[in-house]
Amino acid sequence: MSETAAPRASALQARLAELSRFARAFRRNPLGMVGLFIGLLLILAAIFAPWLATHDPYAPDFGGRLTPPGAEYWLGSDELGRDIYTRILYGSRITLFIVALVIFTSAPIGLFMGVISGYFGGWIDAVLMRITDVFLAVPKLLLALAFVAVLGPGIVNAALAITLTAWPPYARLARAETLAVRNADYINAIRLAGASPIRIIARHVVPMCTSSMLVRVTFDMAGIILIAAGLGFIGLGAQPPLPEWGAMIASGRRFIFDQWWVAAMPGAAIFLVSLGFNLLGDALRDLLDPHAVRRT
Amino acid sequence: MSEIEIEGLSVSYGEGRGQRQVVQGADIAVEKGECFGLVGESGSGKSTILRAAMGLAPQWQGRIEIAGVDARKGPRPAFLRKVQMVFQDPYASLHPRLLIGEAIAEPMRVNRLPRVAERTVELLEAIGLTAAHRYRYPHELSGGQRQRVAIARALALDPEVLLLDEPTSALDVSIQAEVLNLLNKLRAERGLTYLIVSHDLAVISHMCSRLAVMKEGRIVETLGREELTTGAAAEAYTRDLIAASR
Repeated sequence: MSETAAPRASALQARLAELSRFARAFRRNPLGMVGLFIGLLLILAAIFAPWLATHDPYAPDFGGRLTPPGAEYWLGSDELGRDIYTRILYGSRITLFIVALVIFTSAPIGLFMGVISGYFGGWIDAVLMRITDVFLAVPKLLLALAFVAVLGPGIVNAALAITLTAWPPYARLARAETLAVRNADYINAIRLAGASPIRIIARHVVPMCTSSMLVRVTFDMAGIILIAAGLGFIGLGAQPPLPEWGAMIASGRRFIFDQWWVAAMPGAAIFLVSLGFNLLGDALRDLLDPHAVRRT
Repeated sequence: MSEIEIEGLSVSYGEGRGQRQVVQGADIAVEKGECFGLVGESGSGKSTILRAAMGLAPQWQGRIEIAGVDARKGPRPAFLRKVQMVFQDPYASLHPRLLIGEAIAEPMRVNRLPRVAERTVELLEAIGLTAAHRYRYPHELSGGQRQRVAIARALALDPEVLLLDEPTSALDVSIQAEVLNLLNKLRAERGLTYLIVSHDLAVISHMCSRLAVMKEGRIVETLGREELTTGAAAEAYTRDLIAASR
């Protein structure tokens, strides 16, 4: 028992050493740290929303309708007298949920399609990539709109609709990475061990795709948040009274000149979060992009 | 019957009008325990012969039989258990995301061999590294150490034959001798047969008892070490090659 435990600890040590090396390099990028901070802020806001909130996100208070930002309503109140600060906090849960659902569905689908396509080539490649092209040919928001129109509005449907539009770029990326490594000598070496294509792909090709996938995913989080907010804005995403940021902007649209905070506050939240993910993605790309990486 | 038998091997890349004949009618026979060299300038097709033998070149005609297993008709797993290959560039032949120990263990895992962990350590020690190197990444090793690991990986399936594709050309001169001596030692200890490709006659003469000279996809001459050291080659091209390496 102890014999198997000791080497595992050491292999773990090797991976931890790599991780801390990466963390040290990442810390040297101040903008990346800002992005990471914003991302963590979003996660913490989502987790601790009930404790950080000052009001009930759903209960209307008609005495305090459209109050400007102040001591009672930190970021003002909306047309039903609900606290915007509280609603933004709860909205971060919806945002995170949509982003996570989209990423955890679209990235694996794209990775699978791309790696299979790139590794086997030939007619498999042609068929899979033409399917990908069809999805890529339609503007993202339009395609998402069409799917939501079919599936019906709602958070999960909005996320699935975004997934349908988000996987093709991952497939293209994974295919490109696979093409770059499939004839590398280290892949040839494992072929010469007699490994099956499934094993080669899963254990040797996929790990080479993960870093550029990670960079891409981080960038896409910003885009996903914008599309989700866009769907919410036109009423096809989260439905009232859910405090989804896009839907909140939509409801504030009517009084944007007189009660600017109703639309501006959730707008600022969307802006801040997508900026954060972009900064994070930039920093990760600087560290992980195989085309910029020094030969080690 | 020889350990390595290559008869009438022709290899081409591409299709249709773009097709290029890289190797034409090569015959090579290497006895068991022998080290046979293959020299020639860049593009003469010497590496392609090794790749064809290992099934890494797409189209080839002729017959390749190694350790009694036919490369085309024989069972692939049995063939790979008999013969393995060491690649030229140790910076490109080790998976950057695999620990050294995993890289050496992987062929054994694929073939479901027993005692993987113990054998990994034995192999590391056989090539002059230590058990602690299991938990290193390739980028933490020097070029010479990496090439040793690549050799250990090739030995993981306990083959009878190693095909060595310019095993030292990517290394510093001071490291080259170390790796060549290691290869000589392993051959003596394990009774291996080598087919070694190099553009460097010094490497070949250090390692091999016989060699073949290739030019433009053809084997122009096969000669022994004595002819190499005395420069008594029959072909003018070979004499030029020997003179150039002096």
